[in-house]
Amino acid sequence: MTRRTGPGRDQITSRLMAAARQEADRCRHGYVGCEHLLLALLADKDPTARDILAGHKITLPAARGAVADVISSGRGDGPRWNAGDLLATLGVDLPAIQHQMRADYGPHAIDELYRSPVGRRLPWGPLCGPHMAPELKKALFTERDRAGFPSSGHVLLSLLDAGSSGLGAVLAALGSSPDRLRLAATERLRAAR
Amino acid sequence: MSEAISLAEAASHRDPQVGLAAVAALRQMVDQLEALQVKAAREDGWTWERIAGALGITRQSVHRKYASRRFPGRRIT
Repeated sequence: MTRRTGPGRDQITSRLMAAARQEADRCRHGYVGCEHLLLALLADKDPTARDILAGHKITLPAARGAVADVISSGRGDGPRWNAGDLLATLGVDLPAIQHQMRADYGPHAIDELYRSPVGRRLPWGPLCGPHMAPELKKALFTERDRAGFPSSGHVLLSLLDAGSSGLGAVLAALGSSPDRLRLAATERLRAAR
Repeated sequence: MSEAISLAEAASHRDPQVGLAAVAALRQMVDQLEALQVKAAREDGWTWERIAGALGITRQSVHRKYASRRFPGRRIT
């Protein structure tokens, strides 16, 4: 019997979450949201979602630009400011603290902390990287088949159903909408059965 | 308007949304720093009593926070 380590920990979810986190980290957005999962779907090796999105002229470079615009203008799902900026308002230099931690305990000190019993119950905070927006949690970890997502197309459908205003703004900037994409994704997945 | 400028303006207007989010970020950062130091102290063989003393809290507080986490060394009783 295979023991699941938690809800939504199937292979495709883990892979997409890791890619979404990388997209958020790359742009220093301070949170991982549905906007970043859209980028992860466009970059994923499973072409199902990418093909559906391509049918609406949504490509990875265009989507990256739209996500950057939406989040920098405060219309994303996450907090408007990242942890470094917030702590700077209190006079705390987060990059300096992170630098010191790495110098004292090694470059992977924080990752190791979260693999240890000490860090397991801590909130995922400023030293570790972005938080997960509630809309993204809903898309990936609730109201879903316990067996996991069969393809990236199913993840896309779940993402479109999450009610993310940030994703809606990104899709609008790309000339599309959740409703139009939902219809296309449903038809594509039905045809693939 | 850049993110940094809008944040500075919000802070200068004492926007509670920014202030509260900053406090939450600070709290999370302190929790992580504490856990990092506690982990290092246990790996160095520190007792729970010594850790509690250094943190300026009671042994019971340390117990509440960390007892159910399986640390190296002697369990808190």
